[in-house]
Amino acid sequence: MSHWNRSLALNLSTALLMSTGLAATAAPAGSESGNDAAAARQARTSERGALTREYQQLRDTFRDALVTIRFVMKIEDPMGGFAGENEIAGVIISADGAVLCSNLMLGGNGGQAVQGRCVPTDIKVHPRDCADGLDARFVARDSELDLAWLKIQAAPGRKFACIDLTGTTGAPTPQLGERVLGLGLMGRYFGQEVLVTESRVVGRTHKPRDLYVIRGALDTDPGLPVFTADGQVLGFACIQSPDPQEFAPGTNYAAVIARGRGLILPLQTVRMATRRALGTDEAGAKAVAQ
Amino acid sequence: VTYRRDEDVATTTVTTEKLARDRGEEAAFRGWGFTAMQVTPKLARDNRLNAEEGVLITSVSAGGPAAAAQPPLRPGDVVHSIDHSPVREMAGLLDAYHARVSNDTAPREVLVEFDRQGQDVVTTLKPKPDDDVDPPREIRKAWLGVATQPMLPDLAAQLGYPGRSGFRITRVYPHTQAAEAGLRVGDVVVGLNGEKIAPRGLQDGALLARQIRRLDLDGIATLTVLRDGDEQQIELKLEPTRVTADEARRERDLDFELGVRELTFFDRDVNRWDEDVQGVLVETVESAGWAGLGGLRPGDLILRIAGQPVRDVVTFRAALEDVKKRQPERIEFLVLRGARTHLPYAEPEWSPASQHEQPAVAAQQRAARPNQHKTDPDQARTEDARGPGAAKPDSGASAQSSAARSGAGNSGGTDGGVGARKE
Repeated sequence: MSHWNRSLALNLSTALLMSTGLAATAAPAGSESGNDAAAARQARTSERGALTREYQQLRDTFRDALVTIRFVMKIEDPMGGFAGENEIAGVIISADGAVLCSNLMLGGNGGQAVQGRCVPTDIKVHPRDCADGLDARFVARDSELDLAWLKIQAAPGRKFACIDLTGTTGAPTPQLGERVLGLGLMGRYFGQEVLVTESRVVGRTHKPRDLYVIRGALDTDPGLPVFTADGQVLGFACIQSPDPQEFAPGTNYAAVIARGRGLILPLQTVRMATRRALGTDEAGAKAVAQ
Repeated sequence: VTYRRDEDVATTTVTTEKLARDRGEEAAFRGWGFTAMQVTPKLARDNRLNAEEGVLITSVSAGGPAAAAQPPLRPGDVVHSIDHSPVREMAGLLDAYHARVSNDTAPREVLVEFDRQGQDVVTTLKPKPDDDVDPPREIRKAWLGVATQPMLPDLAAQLGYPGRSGFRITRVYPHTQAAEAGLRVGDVVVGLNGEKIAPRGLQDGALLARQIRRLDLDGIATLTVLRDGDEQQIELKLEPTRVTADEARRERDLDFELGVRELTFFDRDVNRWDEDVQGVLVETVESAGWAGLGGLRPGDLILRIAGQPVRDVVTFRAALEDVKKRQPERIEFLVLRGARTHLPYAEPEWSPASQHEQPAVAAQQRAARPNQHKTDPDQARTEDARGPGAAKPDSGASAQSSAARSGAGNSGGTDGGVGARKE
């Protein structure tokens, strides 16, 4: 039984025990009902302990791979434009400093036809142990997947903690209702503290592409990984918006975009896109060379 | 002074004193990321500054060296020393700036001491070149080489395909695999690699293109196509997606106040320009800038600058750098505007050197005119005589009148440029 299945079973049994335990609280100690109540309390304590360990383990395993990305967003439009500093979250995906983040959060337009454009400049990646930040280069982007790749510069020989995406096999396929855990990153002002939140898979869509739908209390940033309860990378949070030609006149754009949040790109999709973006396979080399 | 008051005539003595300027000299320090103004007595009073000397920072560019310094410089700060050398006036700050930006061996960091609301603050500023790097292009994916519209049931019935739906080809781009494979406008794609492709409404308008993008670059696709009432299979090689206008490389020249971008496949298609037409497309032109006064317009395709061929943003940059070195009186642009070529020309006012000039050019020009940035005592006297706030000979008022003159001169719609003055 996998870890998440055990957790699910534990949750169900706890719920059952709680319902019986509440009725048994008035029973004298030492009686059969009293033993049930003690067992329920023990189960709850045990579950709390398991959840705490689960959260802590996830946070401790992956927090050094999470980074804050600071950049200056230059907005160029026919009326002049302006620039301002931004801060988003990302994750290191290779030991030599490749970083993945949301293309939209980095100023991408999601493939929409918009007036003017946003140009991120002066990009710095801040690992937890580096307050000054490390200069980074914007390497590639995929607007329809909402992914962008950066590369940390000038850190020769340094091996970064990372969530390695170079593997080619072994991606989990969660079932409807399965628990998932997400990592969030508070900004530099809050000391880049890592948050662990959880939710459940509530759906799966195949249009515009394969995506897991997560709703509930998951508090993560687009571009950050989402995990199964046993700590495997399930995919990456993203924002999806329709292709421009799929908007009928009068469509409420904001409502469509709002629906496009809380979606998870499966790990395999991100792996394939990453290989193309970084040119680490034949197709990628071709794509990069174009 | 003799004057009359209540029928009485009286005489008094008035001692004149030098009229101080309201606003000090202004300059932009691009490499350091701020603009600044010489502190004047009035400025010091108005801003409750501690001293009547130094240089007041008036704006800081976001993300620039001044904004990134720790602590960052802010508008309202008064710079009073650079690398331990006192700065009492604008000329001193300009000298310090040019000495550093034109000297590769100068230390990378600059120690700036400034006054902020009575506090003496020190910071280090790390100069950097103005690196407007274009964001990377999209990852190339597979592309079919056609444009389509969804054919929904109502339309399908009108086109003689009742009960079918698919994607009707509206354009077969020239020089593509689709054109070679014989796809035609009016063909309706109803299947891809044996799978049915059927849009259910406009919300599926990009379904075919999306399915194609998931296939391998340079792979083979088999399309099921309705043509003249028959269904047939057409096999064709996929090709990489083409660069769009959004991804095109861009270049902006601050002296000519001109923004251009590279020509894309789709620009050629829309304008019916052949593959051998090369140049850069004008995107933005400041109407009172050198290029704008010279008659360049958004949408122009620049083919040559001062006789030098322009093929892309790199050759565009090189051509402008060359003319900036040579500083000719007149610079001709050969542009393609629609189907016609035009020859607008600019006549830049090279002197005095602009604030936007490249550091190397600035250094050269300053070497040639060593006192250029220093306050000219005669000029100061002239301005004083005209009173506070009076326009300098090369001030904005002059620029406006120059622009107005130029606009009038260019209103006839001829291809000729006019004199352009840079302030």
